[in-house]
Amino acid sequence: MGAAYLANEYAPIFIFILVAIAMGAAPLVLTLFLAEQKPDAEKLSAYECGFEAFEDARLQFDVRFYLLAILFVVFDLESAFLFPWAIVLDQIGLFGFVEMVLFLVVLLVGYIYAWKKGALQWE
Amino acid sequence: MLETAFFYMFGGMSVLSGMGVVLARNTMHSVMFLIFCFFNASGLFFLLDAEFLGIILILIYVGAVMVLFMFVIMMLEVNAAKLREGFLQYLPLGGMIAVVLMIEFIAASSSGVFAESAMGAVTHMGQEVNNTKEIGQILYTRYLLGFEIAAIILLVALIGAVVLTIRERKDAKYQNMSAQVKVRREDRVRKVSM
Amino acid sequence: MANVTFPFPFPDHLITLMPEMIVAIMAMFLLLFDVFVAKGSKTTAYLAIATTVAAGVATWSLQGPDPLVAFYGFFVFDSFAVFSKFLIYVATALGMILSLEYMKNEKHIGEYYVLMLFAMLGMMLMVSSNNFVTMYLGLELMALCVYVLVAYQREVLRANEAALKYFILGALSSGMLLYGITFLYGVTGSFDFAVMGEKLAHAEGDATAAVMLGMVFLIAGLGFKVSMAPFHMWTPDAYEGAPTPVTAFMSVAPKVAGFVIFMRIVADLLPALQHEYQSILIGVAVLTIAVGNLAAIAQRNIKRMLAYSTVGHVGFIMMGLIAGSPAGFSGILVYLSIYLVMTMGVFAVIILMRREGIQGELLDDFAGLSKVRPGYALAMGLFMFSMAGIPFLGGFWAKYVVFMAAVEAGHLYLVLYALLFSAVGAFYYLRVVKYIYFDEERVAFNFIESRPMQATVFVTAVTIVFLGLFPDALFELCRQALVGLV
Repeated sequence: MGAAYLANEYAPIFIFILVAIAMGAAPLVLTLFLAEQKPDAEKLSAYECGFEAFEDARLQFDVRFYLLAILFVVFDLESAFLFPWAIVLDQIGLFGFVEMVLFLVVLLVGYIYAWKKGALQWE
Repeated sequence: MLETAFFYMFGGMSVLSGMGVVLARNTMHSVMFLIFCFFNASGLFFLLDAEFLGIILILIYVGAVMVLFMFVIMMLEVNAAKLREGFLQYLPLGGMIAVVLMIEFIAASSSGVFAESAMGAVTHMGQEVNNTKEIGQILYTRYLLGFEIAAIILLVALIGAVVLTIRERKDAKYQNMSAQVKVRREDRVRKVSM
Repeated sequence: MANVTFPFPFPDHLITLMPEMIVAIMAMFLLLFDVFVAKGSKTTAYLAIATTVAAGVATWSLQGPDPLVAFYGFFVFDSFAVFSKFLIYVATALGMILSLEYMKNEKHIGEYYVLMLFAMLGMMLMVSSNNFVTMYLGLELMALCVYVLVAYQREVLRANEAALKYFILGALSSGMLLYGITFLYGVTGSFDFAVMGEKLAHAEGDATAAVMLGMVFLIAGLGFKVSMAPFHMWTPDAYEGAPTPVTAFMSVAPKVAGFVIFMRIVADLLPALQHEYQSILIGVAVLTIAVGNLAAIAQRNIKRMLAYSTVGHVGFIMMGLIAGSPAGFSGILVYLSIYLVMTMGVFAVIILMRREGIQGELLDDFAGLSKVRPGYALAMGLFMFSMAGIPFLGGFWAKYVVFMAAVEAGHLYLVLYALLFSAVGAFYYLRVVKYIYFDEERVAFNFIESRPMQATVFVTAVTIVFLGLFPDALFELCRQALVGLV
């Protein structure tokens, strides 16, 4: 499509990314220079009162999140395959349609299975 | 010229963030580096006119796969400090293999077969060529067997995840919607003759 | 859309894919059948076994004198594929029969057989591929199923560990394989073995480094899958941790598929690089044979011992690849067939000895078997003698053909080296026989009583003896299978 095309179409996106980074970085950088900072040991401790933290703030996740995430990946991929198919459907015709139906049926089998198995049920 | 600059920017950033993945102490930071690496790889796809692949890379890898990674890391409770214990011990062997591979890669990529002169015309296609359409035309015709196998691989991934993670908990209470909907008056109300 | 004829020639192409379609449709049907109807009963298992038979019948009815090529060259159906598909059917069916009793108390048992069928489907696609696209997809389908099967006993810690190791190393090896393929694709611009081979034959001096790098990665990636040293590290752990029927299945079927694809690559893709790949393979074979046979001696767990013994056998099978001749290739097929029968027999005996809790898999557990069950003892003895390569049992001929092929190709020293380690290997095989026949019973035996499994032991033992006495039919069959490949 050419360098000119890339430059025209994606320059706004690139500028947008640059602005976004600048906006994100600005508060962090500006406080370094503008704010008055006089740290001491007490100020830097986890809390100025109360207990030290006992453990990592991060809790262990349940394995069910993993199941949901992988279901999401599978069906996300499925939808990714649908985009180019939709564009060329008028050229590949009925044959292409049947082919995609087969693809979807295979995943539908998986969907019915997961549903019946209770994988979509949040206990 | 501008294109070359962008290529080196995306390429360099992805290499740096790749190193970040390996070297970061906190596994969560590794994941963030990996996400950044995927963004840069996607930028490389854009430079190659493969816009569809670039967007899919962000959509699937950043949007779905990295979420999965995130969950796995949250699930595992990895102690990064403990993982590093053997690091120095394995460094000599690992480093040696890495250096050998590095030399081979340099030899292979500078050997001339990937040089610009050997590649024929290295130009962009005209703007009338739509890369999504091109992918569609070849993926659903010539590569249809692979396409259908991909569906089966996805199905197996789903089965595997269900089999390995699902637990039947007897103590969990949930509503049975269809039973609630199908309920009839006779099931709930009983006439008692006094 | 180069080479794509429109409209798609439906019937011709689909008929070629008949066995695969039967397996895929039945696997999906069984998946739903199990959750809706069977709910963990053995019906699913029997239907799955019936599916392998149906696939066998379909394959048999399709085979003809000429190779069929379908799906724009992405799928081939030649006599080579037919032969290897039958090996895969037998291995899968036996794997399922061995699981009937062993796995009956597992949760989600219906999916277990479905995953086995999908693994079989992946291997069927692998052996029918003459290009990297179908090969890689088949390989991943198979690998994904086997990872799950290894982890099937979720509450068993060592199963989890085994599956995790296997998965991570397997994923790494897939990455290496893909990386190697990209280099070869970069040089040739094609995925088709024959086209790539043609291009590689005319590759100029410039390309050598890239081609070599691609080839090294390719061999390493495939080497992982068939457990060649130094890429064998996952083998003992995965074999020990997996449920024993899965161990039996994965020690045979993926090896068949892996070596078949290796042979196709060597025959079609790399003929121009014969000297280069031979020197790599010789180095790997020397290491594999030594590691497999030496490490097996130190094992007390029979599953670990058999894992190293597999590595050793892989080393011997590689001699056929190194020979690179029709004799070598048919030797590999002979070796794989006989290896299949022996391995399935051994694992059947191990499973029959399963005890409550512990699973009858330490070498000590075999002590005194001959006094309690002389039949099993005899079968186990036969398998061990056969694996050691004692003449006139099946295993002897397996070694004989690959060694002869290697000698004919001029690798006399390699063969002498292999013979030396073959003698070392005989030690640990015969040690099992010593336990069975000359030791006193240490732990009370408690056998599974299962007719199908006892039949498996009987049939495999008889086959090994029969093949030892009359190997010519098998030799001829394997020679026939190679028509068209080399």
